[in-house]
Amino acid sequence: MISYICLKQVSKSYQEGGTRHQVLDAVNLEIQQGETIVLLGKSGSGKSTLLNLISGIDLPDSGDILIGSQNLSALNEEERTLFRRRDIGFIFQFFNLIPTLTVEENLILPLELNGGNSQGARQRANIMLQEVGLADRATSFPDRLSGGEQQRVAIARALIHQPAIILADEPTGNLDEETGRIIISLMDRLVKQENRTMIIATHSREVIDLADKVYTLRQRRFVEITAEVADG
Amino acid sequence: MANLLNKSSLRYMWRHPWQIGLSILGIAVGVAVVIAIDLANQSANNAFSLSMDSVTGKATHQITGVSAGVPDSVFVDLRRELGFRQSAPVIESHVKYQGAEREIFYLMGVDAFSEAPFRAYIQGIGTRISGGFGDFMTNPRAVLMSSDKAAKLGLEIGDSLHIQIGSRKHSLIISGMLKPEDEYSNHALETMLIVDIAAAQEMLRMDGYISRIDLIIPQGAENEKQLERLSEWLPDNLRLTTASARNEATIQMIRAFDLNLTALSLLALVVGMFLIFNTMTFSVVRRRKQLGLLRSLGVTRKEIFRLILSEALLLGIIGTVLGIGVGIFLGQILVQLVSQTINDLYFILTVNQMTITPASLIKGLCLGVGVTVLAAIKPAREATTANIRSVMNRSRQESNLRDNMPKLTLIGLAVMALGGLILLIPTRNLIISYGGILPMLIGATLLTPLVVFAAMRLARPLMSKGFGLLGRMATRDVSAHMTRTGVAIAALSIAVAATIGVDTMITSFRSTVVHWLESRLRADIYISPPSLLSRRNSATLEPEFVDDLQEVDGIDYIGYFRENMIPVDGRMMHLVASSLSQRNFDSFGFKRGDPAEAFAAFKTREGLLISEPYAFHNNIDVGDAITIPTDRGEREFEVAAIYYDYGSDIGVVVISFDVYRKYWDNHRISGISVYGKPGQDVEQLVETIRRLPDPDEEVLVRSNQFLKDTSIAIFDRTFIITSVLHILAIGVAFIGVFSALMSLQLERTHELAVLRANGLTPKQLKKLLTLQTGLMGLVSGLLAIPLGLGLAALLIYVVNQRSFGWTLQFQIMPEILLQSLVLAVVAALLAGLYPAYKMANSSPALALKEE
Repeated sequence: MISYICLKQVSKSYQEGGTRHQVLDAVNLEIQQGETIVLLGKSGSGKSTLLNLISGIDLPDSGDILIGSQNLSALNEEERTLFRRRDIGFIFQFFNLIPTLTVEENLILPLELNGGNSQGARQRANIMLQEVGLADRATSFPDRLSGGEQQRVAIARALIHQPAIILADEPTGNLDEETGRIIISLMDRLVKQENRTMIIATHSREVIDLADKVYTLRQRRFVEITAEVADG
Repeated sequence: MANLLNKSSLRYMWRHPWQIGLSILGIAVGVAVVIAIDLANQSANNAFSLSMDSVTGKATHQITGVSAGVPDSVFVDLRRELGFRQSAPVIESHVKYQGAEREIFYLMGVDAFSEAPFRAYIQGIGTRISGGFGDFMTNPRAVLMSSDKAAKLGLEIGDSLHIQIGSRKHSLIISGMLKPEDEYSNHALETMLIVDIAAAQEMLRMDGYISRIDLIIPQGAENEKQLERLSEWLPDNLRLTTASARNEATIQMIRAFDLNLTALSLLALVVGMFLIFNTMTFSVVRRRKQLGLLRSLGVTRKEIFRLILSEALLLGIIGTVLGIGVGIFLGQILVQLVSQTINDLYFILTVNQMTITPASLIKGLCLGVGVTVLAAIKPAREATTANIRSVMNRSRQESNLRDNMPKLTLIGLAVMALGGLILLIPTRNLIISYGGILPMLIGATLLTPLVVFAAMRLARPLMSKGFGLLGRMATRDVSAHMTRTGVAIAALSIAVAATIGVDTMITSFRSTVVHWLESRLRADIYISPPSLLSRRNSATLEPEFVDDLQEVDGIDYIGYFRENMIPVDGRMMHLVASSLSQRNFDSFGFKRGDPAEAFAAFKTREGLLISEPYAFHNNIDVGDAITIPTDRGEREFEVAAIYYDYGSDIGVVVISFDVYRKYWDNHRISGISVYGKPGQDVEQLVETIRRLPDPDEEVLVRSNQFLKDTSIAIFDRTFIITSVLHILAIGVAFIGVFSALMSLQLERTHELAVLRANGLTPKQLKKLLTLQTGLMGLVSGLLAIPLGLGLAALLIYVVNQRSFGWTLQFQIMPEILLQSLVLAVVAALLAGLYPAYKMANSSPALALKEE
């Protein structure tokens, strides 16, 4: 079986003042289409770096990142942005909704960026809002929503343009336990029902339940562990 | 670009009305100043063209004399012998209206029978003349004037119109009104008085002479021959020129003045540019997280760049449109100042209306919008670099700036060096000169981060000692938020530097002029007819008065001079014929030439003394020959010396009165200097001389000190417009600092809320913010001092030198530097008051929650 996401010998380091900090060292990783992957690791271990590399936000120092038939390392900045616009949906720890757009507009934005027509975009936004249970908040601005509500909008936004890959960086990290649970079940339902590939960087043990595979970072390399081991 | 992105931008702006409003205000004031100066300059030029058009009419050529005018017999011969039927004699002079309001009229004496092809309004074509035209022909006191003007002055047909020509007062009778049928003619005729030529001859005491003969000689081969024939026929003392030549030579006098005003007006726009840069930078900084988020959603760098640029464009358009409106209003005030200065220094000009041309408005629009977009390029580029990795990291920018500081300093020095190189280009082109000053200023602002870091490091122990923890925090805050504080400090220091530069230049100029007046004005009393110009005597004294003066007791020595403006090679030559004794001569300061040798050449060998600006503008040195039109034809005279003179920026050529008498026919005197006998009471002598003129004659008899004071007062008046312009530039800078500080404090809402949550009282917070803004003002002021003095040096040694050719003594006035320092600190403190108040009184809980 050919992997959908394939990292070959990927290394990444950052310059911090006078010293160079190696984050990933010759990482190899293969992810199949429709799989949900959970990345575990301490803060600063390189989880977010990996998400940035897969989304094309950052480039590796060496190695190749293949998404489907595309080698991200071979794309220029503009092409990587367009790839991200089309194929990636992001869910952040701090929700990161655009404060100057309403809930509905936040959802329409990815569709509009991809050239969707406004009528169709609005219908799709309403469907997504119903899916996440916020149909009545379409015209609210983000600062009027609770954290959980904002994250539900963020999930809807990540999925609305039907990207092939969902990248979630600590999606429950800023929510209370109960709300976190609701968000996890929502992600599970929406992502799995559309057979999307999802990579989640998290500290949360509960998120692990969603995972097809769990990886942890050891000595700057990803090592697969079983969900049971991860659950401790 | 996605509509939602634009919508998001608009909402962001809507949510920050003060920041956006101040930015719009800044650009509006900048554009307003540029537009106002442009309109004022243009209105003055148009008023001049309009009045010249109405005076010249359809004439294509003119025959003029040099000093005395044209003998009226030439006109008769021209018609009889050469058959020039399309010719008209004209006598002209500016006259002063003797009424409650200060009005200058252009008096034109015409021959009604010859006028038909030339000036339609005199024949009633395109104009209605009410009243009797017959009376105009027969009554030597009859005058025609514009009906609008008469109405403004409350005059009617049959009323007396009192005027003064030179020192002599006259009373005319309004015999008819000119009623122009269109607005253009109306403005053209507003300042005109038409009298019969014989009456004008009598009033101006030009018996047997006229000012000029107007001709209509259309282009064509046949007419070329006619012109050649006419040139050969004319005697040596008369000249045939195109009708426009004299006007062009006159308007040429104010070119440098116009250009310098324009350059100064651009200063306000440059400061406005900083403001836009500031606003856009803040708006990008505040939205870095959001911009990074948009990038993560797939918005390309180009789209982000376009988004920020289009925001700036919107601000630019709104600011510019507002600025144009304000500029038109401001222009109406400035046009008075500009025309006052032109009247003081160059020629008589009445500006009745402001000329608003589409070209001027388009220029303002392009400048305003262009400058805004230019200022937004860097923030827009920065916005494209917002990446998702660092959206959470606000200190990243600051550390980037610290890392880049050596590079920034080097770039600043390189930009300054580039400016220096441009200034080294041996040119008299003022645009290139100002083009060199701009990089010097911009380069200096790039040194701001280094200066601020160093200053804060030095200030820290002192502030700590004086204000404890708050003092230490204030110094650290200024350094730590350099990306925000730096721009505000740079904008304020540029504005304050401009104040120091312009003030030091004016003060240096003033002290040079005072020193020059002290050494030049040595006579006890100066006598002249009332002049319509401040710097030059446009009229002459009555010969009888001069004769009577010789008889007055108590006078040791009388010096006299005659002034003429003569068009030479497309420029006006200010020729002064002077009796110049050895004691007058000793008061000259010479730049080139041996004084003793020069005096001998001046007195005995027809040598010329030329002023520094004349030598500069005409590229002439001692020993060179100058060709001057005389009443005996063109003559060459050798330059004996070049002397310092600050009375005229076009320059002066001085010739011995004896030589003048030999080559020129009009020997009437423009002014007299009187030296009293030793022990003579000068005030008593003044009183005696004041009793000499007839009752209908006015002569100005002024003591030495009075003349010096008057000269300085005129000097100060001519710099009012400069002061107005730089006050406006400071206004823009103040808006900039206010906007910057507001942005800075709002940016720190969370940080300040944390301080409040940890126990900092509102009073302490106010103190912290006040200390911080005070420090920023102090650093701006300190940075502005070397920058301002450098700017002053450039204005004195480059701009003044290249515009006017003057050597000015650079003078540093400690009080100007101190005032500027206080101005910077006060401006910053004032600008910081509201943000400090707002922050100290806002709820920390809310601020923490919002974050």
